[in-house]
Amino acid sequence: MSELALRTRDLRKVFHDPERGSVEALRGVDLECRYGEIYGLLGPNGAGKTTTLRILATILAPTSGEAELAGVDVARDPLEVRRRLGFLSASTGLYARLTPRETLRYFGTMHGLVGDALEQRIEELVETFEITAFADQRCQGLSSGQRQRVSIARAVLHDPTVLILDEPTTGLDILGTSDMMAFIDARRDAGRLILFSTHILSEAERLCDRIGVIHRGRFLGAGTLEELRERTQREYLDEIFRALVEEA
Amino acid sequence: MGGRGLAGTALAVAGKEIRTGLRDRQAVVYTVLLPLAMYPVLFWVMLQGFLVMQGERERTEVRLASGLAGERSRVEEALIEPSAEVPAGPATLDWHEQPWTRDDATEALRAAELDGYLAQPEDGGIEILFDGSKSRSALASERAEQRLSNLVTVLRVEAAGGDPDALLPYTVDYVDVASSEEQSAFVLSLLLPMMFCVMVVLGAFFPAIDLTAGEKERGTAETTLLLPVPRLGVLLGKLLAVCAFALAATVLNLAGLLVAGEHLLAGMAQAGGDAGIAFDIPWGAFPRAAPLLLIFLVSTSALLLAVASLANTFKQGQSLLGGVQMLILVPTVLASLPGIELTPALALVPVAQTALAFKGILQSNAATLDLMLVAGSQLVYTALALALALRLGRSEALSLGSGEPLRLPALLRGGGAPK
Repeated sequence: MSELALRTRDLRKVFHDPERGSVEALRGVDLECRYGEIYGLLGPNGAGKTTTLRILATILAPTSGEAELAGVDVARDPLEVRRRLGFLSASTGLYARLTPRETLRYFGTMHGLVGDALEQRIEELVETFEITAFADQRCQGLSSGQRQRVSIARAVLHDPTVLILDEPTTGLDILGTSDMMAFIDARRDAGRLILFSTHILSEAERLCDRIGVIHRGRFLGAGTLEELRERTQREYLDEIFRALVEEA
Repeated sequence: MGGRGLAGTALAVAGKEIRTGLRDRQAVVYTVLLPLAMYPVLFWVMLQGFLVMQGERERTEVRLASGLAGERSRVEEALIEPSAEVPAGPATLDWHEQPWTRDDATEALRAAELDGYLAQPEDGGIEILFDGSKSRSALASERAEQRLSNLVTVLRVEAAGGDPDALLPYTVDYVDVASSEEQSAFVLSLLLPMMFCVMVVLGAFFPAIDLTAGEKERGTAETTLLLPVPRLGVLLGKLLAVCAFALAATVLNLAGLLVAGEHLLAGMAQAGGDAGIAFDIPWGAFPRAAPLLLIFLVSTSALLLAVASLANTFKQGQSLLGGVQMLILVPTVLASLPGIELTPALALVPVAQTALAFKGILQSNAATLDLMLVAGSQLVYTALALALALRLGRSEALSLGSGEPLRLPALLRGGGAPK
């Protein structure tokens, strides 16, 4: 079994809402993910998937619990976590007034890349993700598919060992979704961990090596599809999901 | 791969924000084009307006009527038939041969059928009736008074048994001991401090919203939070960018104002027949005031950035900063009123302190101790504004724009996002 890339223990998050008081968005999430696997975090809207991923990406701070990514404690050294992580979500927009090439240069600079190394890396990404034709157009004029390619290039610019994708196919057409799935497969083959959230069961079935189920902030369990079938005695993922919710 | 230090991060972020800001049409219009074009255009319009009004005033014919008893008096003659003693003004006076009663004249003045009326009260002297709410009537009174004052001198000489023809003409010359630079400094001290504060606020207004609420609205706030650099560096970079825009807008505005103002005054002086008026900008005052002005610029930018970070949308940011704008502008305007000078107490009042210090430096009458008090308290306010900007900028609830209601005390108490 390969090395542990990500681990959370009893991860909790409470939001303070002036109208509703304290809202428990996460009520103890335990994850263990390894390099070279695609791990799908499955749950309906509002289950806590995005909150979990945002804590791992150091966008939010956990209320309690532990999280470690690529061997670094998320709460203690968030900066190092961001250096090792690639993160992409539907709400990770591109700077509209920068061109794709400028976007990559900006992020590359922030990752400490300079000079020829930076320019070479940008050209590699521009070529790999077929950005060349629009590399010098401002992002505000790009199609959603083109933006998605630039966003992916931005997320993998520093060749992160862990890639977190939050609902990565939201808003994409059939071709865009297919490209995204191919990209996820390729990253896994390169020995990276890909943790992605989705509420689209077919995506999870098609891609994931292991699946974790989350519902109303509670982590209900994880395993390969086969393991989950065995545990719940159900065939299809939607039935498995329902059985896990009822079991909880 | 290594990251960047705090200063490097701040500079890189500021560079990116300035570049993208300059690609925003609104920012370019407000920061660059408006200052460059506004004052020359505005002052050209003012000069043309002044010339048109002056010409119009010279051509305006005013209608006077007399209620003086008996034959046409010397007063009336003086008004309608100018002589060497009573020189003619630029306007003609309509003369109504039929004497008006006072009541008729009053009614005619109100109805604008008449512009001025000469009456003789029982206790002697001459009354000039006019309607102060009508510019033409006010002009009639002004001209009548001008001509009568000359006549009064002649009559006095005659009453004393003298010969009015022997009356030596005299002129009154006004000699101002202040240098043209001092005179200009005084005029500028009434205008520049207020303009400076206004320009700083206007210059920082849109960038502050664009880099906070604008980011949330465009969906790039999360992208920025993912940068592998300290959040403090990102916030400082944004502050630097806002300061740069405010500085550019202020410098361009003031330069435009000074250059256009210089031409306006020269044009007005020539039109008024006094080509000797010089407008010398007291350049020496600017380096002396620069440190205080820069501190004000930083604290104002930090305050606007902090307040704008409470907003989730550009529109919300505009309404929030509109209130702050008023809070800054009111003390600025009050401090610019003539007669209000820098005192130790006023040196501690935020915003007003800067306007008064600048005013005092321009007039060369600011006490060193007062200026030191201004600098000290300005630094305290700047530190508070920076702390507020950093605190709010690092607030988890604000950094992504959750859409929750804005409650400042709760936000200040609430936990921050990871560093």
